[in-house]
Amino acid sequence: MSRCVKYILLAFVAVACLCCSSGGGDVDDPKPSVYYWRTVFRLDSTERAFLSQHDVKRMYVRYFDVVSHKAVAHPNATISFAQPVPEGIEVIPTIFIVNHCFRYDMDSIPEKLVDRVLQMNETNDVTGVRELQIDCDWTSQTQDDYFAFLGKVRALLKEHGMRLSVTIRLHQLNLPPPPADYGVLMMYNTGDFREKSDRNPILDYRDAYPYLKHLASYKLPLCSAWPCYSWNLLYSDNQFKGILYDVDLADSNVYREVAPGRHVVISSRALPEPNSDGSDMTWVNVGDSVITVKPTASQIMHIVEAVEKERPGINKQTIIYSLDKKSIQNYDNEFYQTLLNR
Amino acid sequence: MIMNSIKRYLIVSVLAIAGVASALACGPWSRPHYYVFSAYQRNQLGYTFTDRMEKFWYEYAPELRGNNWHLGMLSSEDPQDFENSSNVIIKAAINKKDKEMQDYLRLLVSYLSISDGVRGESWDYPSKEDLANREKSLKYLNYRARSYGGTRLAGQYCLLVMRTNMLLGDHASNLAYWSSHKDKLSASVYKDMMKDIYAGALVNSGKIDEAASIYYELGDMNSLMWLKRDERNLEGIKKEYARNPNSPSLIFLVQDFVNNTSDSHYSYMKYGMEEYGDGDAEVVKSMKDFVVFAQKVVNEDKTKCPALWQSAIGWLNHSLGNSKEAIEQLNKAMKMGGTDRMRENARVCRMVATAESEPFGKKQSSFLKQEFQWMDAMAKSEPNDAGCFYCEDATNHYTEVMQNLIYDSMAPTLFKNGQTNVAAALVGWQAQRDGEENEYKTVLDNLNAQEMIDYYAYLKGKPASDLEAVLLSANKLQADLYNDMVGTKMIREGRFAEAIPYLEKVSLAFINGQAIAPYASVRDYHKEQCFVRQTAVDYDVPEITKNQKLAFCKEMVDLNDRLGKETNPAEKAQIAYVMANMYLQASYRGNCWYLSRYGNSVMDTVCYKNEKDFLAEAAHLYDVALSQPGLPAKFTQCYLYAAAFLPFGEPYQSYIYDEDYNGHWVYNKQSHQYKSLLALKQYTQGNPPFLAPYITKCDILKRFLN
Repeated sequence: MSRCVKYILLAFVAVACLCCSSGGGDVDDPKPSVYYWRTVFRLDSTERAFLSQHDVKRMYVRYFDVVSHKAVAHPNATISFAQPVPEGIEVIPTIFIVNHCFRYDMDSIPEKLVDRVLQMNETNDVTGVRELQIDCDWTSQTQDDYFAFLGKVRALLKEHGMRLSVTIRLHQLNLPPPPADYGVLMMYNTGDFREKSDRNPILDYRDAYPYLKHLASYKLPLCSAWPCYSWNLLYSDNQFKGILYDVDLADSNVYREVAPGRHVVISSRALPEPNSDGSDMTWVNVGDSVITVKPTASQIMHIVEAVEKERPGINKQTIIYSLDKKSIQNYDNEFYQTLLNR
Repeated sequence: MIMNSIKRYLIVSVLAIAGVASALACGPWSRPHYYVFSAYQRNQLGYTFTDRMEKFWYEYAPELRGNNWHLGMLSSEDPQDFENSSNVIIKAAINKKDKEMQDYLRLLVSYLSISDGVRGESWDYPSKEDLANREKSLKYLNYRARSYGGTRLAGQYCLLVMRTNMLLGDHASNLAYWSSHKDKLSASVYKDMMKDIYAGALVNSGKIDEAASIYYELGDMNSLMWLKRDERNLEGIKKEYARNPNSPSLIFLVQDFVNNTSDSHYSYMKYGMEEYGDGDAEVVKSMKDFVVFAQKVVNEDKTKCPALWQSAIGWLNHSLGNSKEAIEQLNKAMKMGGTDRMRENARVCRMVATAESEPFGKKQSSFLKQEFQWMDAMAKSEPNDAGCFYCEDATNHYTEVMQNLIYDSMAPTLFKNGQTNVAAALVGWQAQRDGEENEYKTVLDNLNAQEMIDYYAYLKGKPASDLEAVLLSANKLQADLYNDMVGTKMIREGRFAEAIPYLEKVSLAFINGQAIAPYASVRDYHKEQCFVRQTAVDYDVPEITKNQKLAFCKEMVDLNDRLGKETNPAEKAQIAYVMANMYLQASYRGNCWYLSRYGNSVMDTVCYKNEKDFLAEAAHLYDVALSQPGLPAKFTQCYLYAAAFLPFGEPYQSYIYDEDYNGHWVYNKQSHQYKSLLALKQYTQGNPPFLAPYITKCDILKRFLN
């Protein structure tokens, strides 16, 4: 073997090693992206302006959830398209599957799911769809069934020239990567909002940090998704009562701000808001606290950098969760500009 | 929307019901606290339309009763193949040769099938062609429904027209259709359902106030609450009144305001909540401002229901503590214009205001007897909240007010004023009517031994007033229960000798039927808790053949007697040690807690009136044992170990977190347990002749030594 060939081989091995040590790489064709997670597709002027201002080209649209009822998986909360998707935006249908479904027989679901997504595209004139995303909070208990399910979905998508992506929650970094073309690292919902603590349940470095060490060696191309939402968490005697989704904290008849991000209820009433017990009313009582949680822009950016350090290139594509008027107003343009155009 | 959920859960400081039915333990537990002000029946036109619809079909097809699912499954029938259908409604129409109904059912089935497709979630997502066909079918159904020329099913067909319009998104047609047909139709559930769809069309066209009036009329308070969400305050009420002094929404808004503010003020008064500064002051101010405004409304005479406003004035005044004035105002409201319900509401408020503000004597007793009877009659005529989440607990406004009044207001006040007997009897009477025997047992459990003896005599005595006559005739106390309770209370008060005559009268059949029997039949108070953990309770347990409480008392009396007389130090120490173990076993932390109480939870403590702290007694007796001179090492070790094991006072260590969320154990050096462990540690380090294996193998001690 000539010296030259030796060098070429060595160089090849070195590159291969480099690839291995940096995990699964990053995603092809990255673009500024957002999630759309509502049940009606309708954008208002603020949301449209956001898309154009930040040159958003890709939208991961939740099409429906898959839930189980009487041990049978079926679709739920299907989106309806009240407007067409703006031109120039690629839609990636995203399906949230309740992990519980994998306790039951899911053999027939991949085909039904792919067919339904394709039909939804056709019926609603959603064109140019080249990918499907599955979102599931799977665990080691459901891993085998979930991976088998993904394998079938991926094979079916291939027949239609489509690829498969999946969401990856931080705790899933401990487990083998799912069979997909790439993963979206969910950098939100990192804590437990039922526990009242000084940690931000949406994103807190202390919750994220222990998992970051797995990033470098994670064998799946990854991009990242970042929160822009806030939560109004209702507590009574430090017991979590629910999330108030549509609450007017400026109503001084009912709430009083006692500290930044903390309101107390000064007058009791029932609110027509869905409750965690399944009823359609939530009681706010005198003395209850409403804690508004939202990570600051600098906290998010700090973690963005930490993630980038562990896995260079992961933020080439970032996805904002999620596009809605109220949430996107939580941060300024500079924040989005920095996050989306990396 | 059923307003069953107009209830709040407040913590009240009474005894808890343990997991075992009929077993009681001390600790806070919650019971609902209901709103009192109710100017409209919360389920006035039915919980939903379903019940009324079902009623129609029950009459048409009696086989449907008990097989309601046939109604829900209509959508899966084939309209072209009714002959082979097993659906009882379709079969009834065929058997009756009711061609008119069969035609209607075919259209209904087609509509329901499309509706399921639109609203439902199936794997088959419709194609563009499916959607076009669906629209075509809906238009056809709409046409067919409009073409009905008969009268018998006119309501059904008109509803079908509006339902198909709704699915077609044609709200404008529904606005017009309702306006042109509302006067032609007689009252029925179908007409109300049309009106509900019409209200939805109004919301879609921005006519919120009109829609709100309809939702009020239909009893759809959740929709109303949503539509009027920005007017749920005094300013909103003023605005609505200025717009229309007789707006039906005002009935909802006034009731909502009165209940929200009075309940908020109640919470501030009950729980303090100083942290929230002048929150209560703001609530009180808004209540007072409302009273001024409501008075203006009454004076202006533009409202057709002054009874509503006047009763609101009265109830808020009572809530603010001006009860005398309030009762006069409520008396007035009872005679004013408005609906019957509004005047009845004034009477309910007056009853509560009187009961809560005037002392319980002969005069008040006669008044309350009369009002309670009226409340019972009202409760019987008011529908329960069937269709609610917990149907077995279905209540209605009147039963809820009585529960509030008796359990949360009258009984606590009477107890506080020392009128223990009438308070307990009131709870017993109400609990019997509610089927809530634990409410009563909790009250009885909370009495001390002497109060229990007095109460028993009171029940057997002559009533002092009209209401008490009712209460005494309703409350009977079984002799076994009485004797067992007095005996148990005496045990927990440490009056073992006095308990014996009561416990001797308790039958074994009663003992075996108690919720604590599974524990009593397998556990033994002689066992040393530091060495034997008696945890498992098998519900298939042997029958109890002797009264353990009685045996315990007799032994305690004997041991106590011997302890006083014994002069031999080792013997005296052993008696003290045995007694200490027995105290521990019978304490709230003991395995044999059933000797001193009827329930047990981790939240327990020394919580009963006159209850002796058995753990403190045990600690003292271990000290007595250890203080005897010349004890053999074997016994010293045993007593030291038992004393260190005793869960008396603060635990010897706590786990705390620092600012960085790092956990640390810290010792509570003043605690009895820490001192006892320290004594044991010092003993082991003092070169004893030997150390028992239970000491050398003790993990806790090992950790403590390190």
